Amino acid sequence: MENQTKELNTSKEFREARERDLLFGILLVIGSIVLGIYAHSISTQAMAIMDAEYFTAPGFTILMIAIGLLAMAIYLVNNALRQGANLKWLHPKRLVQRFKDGRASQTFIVFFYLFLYMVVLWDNIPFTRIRIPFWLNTMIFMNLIMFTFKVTKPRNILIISIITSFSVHFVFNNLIGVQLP
Amino acid sequence: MGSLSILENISMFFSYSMQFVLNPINLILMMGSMIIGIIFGVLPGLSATVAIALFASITYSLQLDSALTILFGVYIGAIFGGSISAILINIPGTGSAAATCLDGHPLALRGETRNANMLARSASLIGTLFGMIIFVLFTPLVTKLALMFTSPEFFWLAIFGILICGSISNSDVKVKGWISGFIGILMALVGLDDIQGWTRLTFGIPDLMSGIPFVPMTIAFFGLPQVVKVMKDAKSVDVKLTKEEAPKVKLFPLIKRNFWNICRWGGIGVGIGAVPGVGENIAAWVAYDDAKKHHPEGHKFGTGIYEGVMAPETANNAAIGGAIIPLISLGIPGSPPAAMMLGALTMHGLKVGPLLSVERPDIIPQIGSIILWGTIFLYICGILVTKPMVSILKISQKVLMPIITVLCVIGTFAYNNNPFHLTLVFICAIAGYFFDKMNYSSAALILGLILGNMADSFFRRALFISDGNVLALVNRPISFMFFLACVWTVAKQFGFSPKSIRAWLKKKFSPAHD
Repeated sequence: MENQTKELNTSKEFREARERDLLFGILLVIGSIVLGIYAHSISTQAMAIMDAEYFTAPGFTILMIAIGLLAMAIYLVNNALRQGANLKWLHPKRLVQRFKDGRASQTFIVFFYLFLYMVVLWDNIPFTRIRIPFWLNTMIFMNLIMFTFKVTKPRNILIISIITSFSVHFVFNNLIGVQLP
Repeated sequence: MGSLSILENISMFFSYSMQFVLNPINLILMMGSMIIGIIFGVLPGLSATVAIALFASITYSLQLDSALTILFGVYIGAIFGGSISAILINIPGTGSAAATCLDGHPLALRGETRNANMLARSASLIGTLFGMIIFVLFTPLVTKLALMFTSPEFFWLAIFGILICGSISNSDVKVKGWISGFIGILMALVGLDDIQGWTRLTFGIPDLMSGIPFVPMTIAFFGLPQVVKVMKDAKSVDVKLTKEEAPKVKLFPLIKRNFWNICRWGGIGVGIGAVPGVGENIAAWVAYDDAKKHHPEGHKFGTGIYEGVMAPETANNAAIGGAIIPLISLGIPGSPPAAMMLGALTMHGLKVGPLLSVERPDIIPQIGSIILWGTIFLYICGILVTKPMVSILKISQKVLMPIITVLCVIGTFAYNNNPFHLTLVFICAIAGYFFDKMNYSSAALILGLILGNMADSFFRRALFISDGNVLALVNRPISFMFFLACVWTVAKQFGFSPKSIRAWLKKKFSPAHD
């Protein structure tokens, strides 16, 4: 029974991997075609302005990479299709179901907190004049992430976040000389 | 000023080694960084690559020799540290210690934790020393060879590095490693081009004009995705120590008995370490397999055989020396941690490549002496910190990861105090997470990022000199050899070999087929 469950899980993982390959492969095909066109256009622009041959123009290497990526993307798509992959999983209902399974939402939460920490609250809050010092930003981030994932007791979370924020600020700003906000 | 001969290198190596030990600051830095490295190695989810990526930025403001001491201390410590958790809890702290689990943990289960740890420590010491000796002796020779290279050779070497790294990386579909490497090259081409000063792939963003820096990118592709993965998946680790029942193993007779085996495992480590982008993980597995084949009781491997611990630990530590041979001589890192080291050296203003030992003739002996003392400190710290590591392993990884995140963010910002890099790293961390989830190789991508510019400028320079004649890329013996190596790597990935081609020809043209 256990073996059967394991096999089912493995086949589910395998199928999901091929489905992701198919999507990525298609995106890569489109991306490499766009890249190829871009490479050709910058090469021709460069040839018109400066003394450059097509082989030595700045877009030539990009064109070669685009061709290589296109060939590999086609292999990827072909391989995924041969193994029965499809794109039905991209239906909004199925995507919502996947997100509701829990683990995808956890990934989203961690990235959201990282976004807050690294982009929104770093130094100036966008479109405002409010400046957030590094230690406060760090403390907010650590409390948010540790409380959300309930990593330890609330009292410990507060202690860890306060100690980390201030010690990291002191060491890097004052001792090492990194100009933190 | 020219590069030094081997004898000059050796004498300078001894003089640097003496200078190193006479400076107490060096000893304190080495001790501290070694312990930090071991902690990074012990904790599953962190690795030598993450540790060096973090410390590369942090040591930016330090003197070069202090920075090198810290970086090599962290590197050696992290590679060794992985074995402690492999033995104690059967979870390799780093990928390079995965093979150590197979015999290390069974030894711990039967009450030989002390023996297993001692063997891992001693094998790591021997391996690192072996790699260091080969590094000091052979790097000048490889450098001399590399000084004869012209644009086509460098171009093919860069392509070969990316192809071999892509084909060896653990992917479920053959081309995934190469896709990663090609995307890495593409990222390297962002910004002003070296030859004509043309802006490429910047999408009008001025901050991208100077290109995508690869030290922050290593944090994006190795550090932050790991944080997300651990926050999502980590379970508490149950650390239970079995009672020490077995007598202490006699180390010297064991080493004497395995002398040639140890040399072979060291050779495997150095050899595989020197292959661009491959590194310690594969070296450990190949040495383990070799030990199993050559051992009279090979069938008992996996049940707690001493050589099963010694082989991978010798090889993964020997790979450190191996990985920095191509780094210093050719500017091509042998492993992901060596790639980080390349970033650190570049940040300190060193132009890594064949000309480095001409511009800085002392660099090889200096690095050699740091590795020598690192090896000695590995043994001392290994004895001191193995027991306290049990307490560190008991700390939930979910508590440690937010702290690691803070260090990753500071490491990114410290690179050149540009908040734009934080946004860039955030975006690339999302890509890195999905890359990892879809089995694409981040190591190949980073190698592509490192070698991309080199490949591009040497490729176009070769064509420029030859007026667009493509044959100029293969008309010299060494460049033709590298070209063949690239073709062989691609062909082998798809199952082609001289044998299979012969078999196919035979089948195709045999009378029965007609």
